Amino acid sequence: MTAIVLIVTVLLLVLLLNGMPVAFTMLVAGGVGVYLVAGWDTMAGVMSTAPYEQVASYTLSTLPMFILMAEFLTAGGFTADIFRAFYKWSGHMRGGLAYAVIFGGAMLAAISGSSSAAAGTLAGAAHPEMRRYGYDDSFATGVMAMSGTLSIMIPPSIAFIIFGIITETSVGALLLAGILPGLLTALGYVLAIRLSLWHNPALAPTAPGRFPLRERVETLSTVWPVMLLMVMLLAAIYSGAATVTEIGAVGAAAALVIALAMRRMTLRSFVKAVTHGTRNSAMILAIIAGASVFGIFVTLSGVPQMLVQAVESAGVDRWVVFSMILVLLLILGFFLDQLAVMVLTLPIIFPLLLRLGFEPIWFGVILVKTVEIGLVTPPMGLNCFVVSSVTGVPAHKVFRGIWWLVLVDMLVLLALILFPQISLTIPRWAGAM
Amino acid sequence: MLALIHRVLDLLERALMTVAGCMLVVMLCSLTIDAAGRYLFHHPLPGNFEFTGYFSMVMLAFLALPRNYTTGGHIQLDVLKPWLRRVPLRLSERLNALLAAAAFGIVTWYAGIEALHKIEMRETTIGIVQMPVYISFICFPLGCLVLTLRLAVEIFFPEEHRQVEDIEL
Amino acid sequence: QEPITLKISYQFPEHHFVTLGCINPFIEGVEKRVPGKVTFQRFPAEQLAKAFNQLDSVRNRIADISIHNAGYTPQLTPLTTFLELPGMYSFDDTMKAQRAFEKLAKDDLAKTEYAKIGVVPVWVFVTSPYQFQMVTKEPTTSIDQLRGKKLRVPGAGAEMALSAIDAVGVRVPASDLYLALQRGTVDGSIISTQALPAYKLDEVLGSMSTNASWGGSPFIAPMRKDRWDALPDDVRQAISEAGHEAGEKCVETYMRLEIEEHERLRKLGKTVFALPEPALKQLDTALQPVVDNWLAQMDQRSLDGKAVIAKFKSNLAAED
Ligand code: NA
Ligand code: NA
Repeated sequence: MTAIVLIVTVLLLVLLLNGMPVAFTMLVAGGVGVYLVAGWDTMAGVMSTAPYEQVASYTLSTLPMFILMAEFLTAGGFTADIFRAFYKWSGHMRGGLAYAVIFGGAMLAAISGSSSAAAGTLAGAAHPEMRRYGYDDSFATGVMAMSGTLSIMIPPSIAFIIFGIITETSVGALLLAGILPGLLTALGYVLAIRLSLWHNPALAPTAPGRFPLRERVETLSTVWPVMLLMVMLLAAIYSGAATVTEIGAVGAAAALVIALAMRRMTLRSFVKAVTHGTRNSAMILAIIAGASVFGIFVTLSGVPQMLVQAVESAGVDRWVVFSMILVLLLILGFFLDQLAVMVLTLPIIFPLLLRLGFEPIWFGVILVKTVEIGLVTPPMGLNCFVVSSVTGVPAHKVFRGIWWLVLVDMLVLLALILFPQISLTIPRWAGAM
Repeated sequence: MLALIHRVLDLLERALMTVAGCMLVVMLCSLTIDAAGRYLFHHPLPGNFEFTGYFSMVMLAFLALPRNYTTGGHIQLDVLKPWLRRVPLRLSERLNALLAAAAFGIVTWYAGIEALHKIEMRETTIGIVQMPVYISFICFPLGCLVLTLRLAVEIFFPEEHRQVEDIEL
Repeated sequence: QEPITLKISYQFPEHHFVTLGCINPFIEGVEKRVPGKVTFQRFPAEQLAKAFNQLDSVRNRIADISIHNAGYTPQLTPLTTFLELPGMYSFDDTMKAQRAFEKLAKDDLAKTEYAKIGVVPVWVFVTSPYQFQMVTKEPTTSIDQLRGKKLRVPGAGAEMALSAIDAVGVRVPASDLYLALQRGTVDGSIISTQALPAYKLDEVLGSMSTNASWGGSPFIAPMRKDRWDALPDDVRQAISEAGHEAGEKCVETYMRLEIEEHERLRKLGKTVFALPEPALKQLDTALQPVVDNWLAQMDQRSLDGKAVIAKFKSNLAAED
C-alpha cells in the first residue's frame, strides 16, 4: 500500500509540474490510484459516477452565484469605483494610494469571493495613479497583490464555501468566522504600510493635495448601492434569515438589478459577465469533480486511518501534529494552486484534526489564512502574476514588494492560532455554532 | 483535414459553452424566484432543489469543460513552462494530452454506458415535480467526450493554451 | 485460508447511534457466526460516497455493501419509497413495520425492484416515523395551526405532504437547521426525534409531536448480485441472520432513543405533545392526496404501487 501511495503522489507531482491542468491531474492520478488499490472495475465505477455526484449538488450552487454577483458588479464598473472613492478620501496622505488599495480591497472583499479577480481590479484602477505620484513599483504592486487576498477571508468567500462543502461544516458559520480575521489582516497591512513609509519615505514620495469636498462626496453616489448590497449580504448571513445558497442567488440578482438601474449594464457587458462567471465556475467545478476521484483513492488507500492510528499510538502532542500540518500547508501553498491544496489535503488532515479535538470552524479560518499567504508567495503566487500582467511590472518585482506584508500575515496567523476567539466570537454571537 | 477537425471541435465546444452559460442564467433565475417566492409569498418554486442540483449545476460544470480547456481557463502550474518548452518533440505537452485523453476517455466510455442504462430505465425522481435525471446525466459523458476528442487530436498536434482574456461564448 | 474482506460504506459517523446500534451489531453478528472468514473494512461518514449515493457505490463496485436510505434514490428504488408516505405506520407499530418491510423487501421488492438494478437487499430496517417540531411552545392540536408555516423537510415526500396541508417545505441541511430555526427562516422542522441532540435542536425548539405519522425512512443494505452469489453459503447465511438481528436491534435502538428523548425534552420544559385523535384523522384525510399522487406516479412508470402497499399492510396485519 505504501508503494501505491508513493507512486500516485509522484505521478501527481510530476503531472502538476509538467503543466497539466490541476483538475485533470487529480482525475488521472486518482484514477491510477483507485486502479492500483481496487482494480479496473472499481476504477471504472468511480470515474463514471463520482465527478457527476460531486457536482450535482444544490448546496454547491452557492459557488457560481457568488462568482456571478462579483462579475455583475465588475461589469458595471462598481469595483473600480470603490477604489476611486477610497482614493478621493485618503489620497492626500503620504501613501494614501496604498491605504486606498487596502481599504478598497477590504470592501471589494465583501462583495467578491475570489482573490485574484479583486487583485486584478485594484491593480487596474490604482496603478496609473501610483505611477504618476512616483510610488516605488515593488511597494505599490506588492500592496495590490496582498489586498486582493482579503477577498477570500472576508465573506463571501469561495474558499470557505468549498471548505464547508468538503468537510460538511456550516458554511454560514464559516463565512461569519472570517469577518474579524479579515479586518485584523487589513489593519495589519495598514500598520505595516505606515511603518515602512516611516522607515523609507521614498516609497511614496509625494501626495496630491486634498480633493475638493464635492468631488469626494460625489464618489459616494456610485458606491452607496454597492455598500447597501454589502451590508444586506452580511446582515443576511449574520441573521441566517435565508440559506447561504439563497443569499448568493439573491445577491447576484440584486447586483444585476443595481447595475441595470444605474444604467451601467449593456447586453454586451451582461454577456461578458455571464461568460466570465461560467468560465470561472466551471474551472472550480472541474477541480472539485477531479478531486472527487482523488478523494476516493485517498479513502480506499486507508492513509487517513493509518495516520490517525500512527499519531495516536505514537502519543504525539496534538499541537505538534497541528504545527506539522500548518508547515505542510504553507509549503504546499508555495507551489500549488490554493484550491488544489484544499481539495488534496482536506480528506487526509481534516479527520485527523477532528479526532485530535480541534474546532472545525477555527481550523477553517486557519486553513484559509494559509491559503491567503500561498496566494502571493513565489513561485506560484497567483495574485502576483495577475497584478504583474495588469500593471506590466515584472513578477519578480511584485514578489519583492510582498515579503514584509507576508510577515504581517504570519503574525496574524499566529494571533489566530493563539486566540481562537478572534474567529469564533461572531459566529457564536450569531448563534451559528 | 486538420483544419476541418479544429473547426468542428471549435463549433462543438462553443455550442456546449453557450448552453452552459445559459444554464448559469437559468440557475440564477430559478434560485432567485424560489427564494423570493418562499419568503415573500410562501410559495417556493416547485422542483427548484432537484433542478438546480441535477440540471443547472451538471450542465454548467461539464458542458463548459471542453471550451474552458481550449481557452486556457483551467488552473495549471506554469513555473516550469520555459524549460518544458525546450523538451524535444514537444513530449511534455504530448504526455499531458495522452494521459488526460486516456482518463477522460475512460470517463466518457463508462459514464456513457451508465447514461444508456439510465435512459433505458427512464430514471426520474418522485416528488412535486418529477425530474428526468437521465437527461441531465447525459451531459456528463457528452462534455467529457468533446474534451477527449480535443485531447486526442493534441496527442498528435500539440497546442499550447494561453489564457484568453476576453472570450466570447 | 485468507478471510474475505468486505468494504462496508455508510453515511453515519463512527459514534452515531445508527453505527453503534445497527451497523456494529451487524458486523459483530457476522464475525461471530463465521469466525475468521470475513473481515469488514469500514468507510463511515460518507468517506466513499455521499448519503444519496450509497446505493450507487455498491452498484459501481466502490463498496461491497452499504447502508442506504432508499428514500434518497426514488429514481432507482421508486416502490420502496412507499414507506416515506404518510399514514403507513405509527410509532408504536415500528417493530411490526420492520418485520413487514423485511418480508416485503426479501420476498417481493427483491424481484420487482432491486434485481433490476443488480443488487440484493441483504438486510433492511425502517426508522420510526418522522415527527414534526415547532419553535413555538404551544402544542399543535389542529392541522390548521400548520397552515402557511415553513417547515424544514428531509426530502420530497415530506415536501409533498406539507404542500397538501398548505404549509411550505424548505430544504435545509441538518447542519444549518439550528440557525434556520433560531432565526425564523423556518417555523419548525420535520426530522427524526433521535437527531435532535446531535444538532442541539432542543435549544431552539419549543414543542414536538410524538405520534404523527409522516412516514419514515426505508433503509436497505444492498450488495451487488454477482458479489453476493460469489460468497460461500455459510457466509451468505451468516450475513442474512446477522442482518435480520441487526435490523430488529436497530428498531429497538430507534424506539428506545425516541422515548428517552421525550423524557429529556420534558425535563427541559419543552412541550412534548401527542396530536389529538381528531387532528390525526384530519391529517390522514388531508394527506390522502399525497398517497394518491404517489400511486399515480407509480402508474406512470408501469409499477404496481397499490400491490406493494397492500402487501405491506397485510404483512403488518399478520404481525398482530
Ligand atoms: Na470575500
Ligand atoms: Na504560492
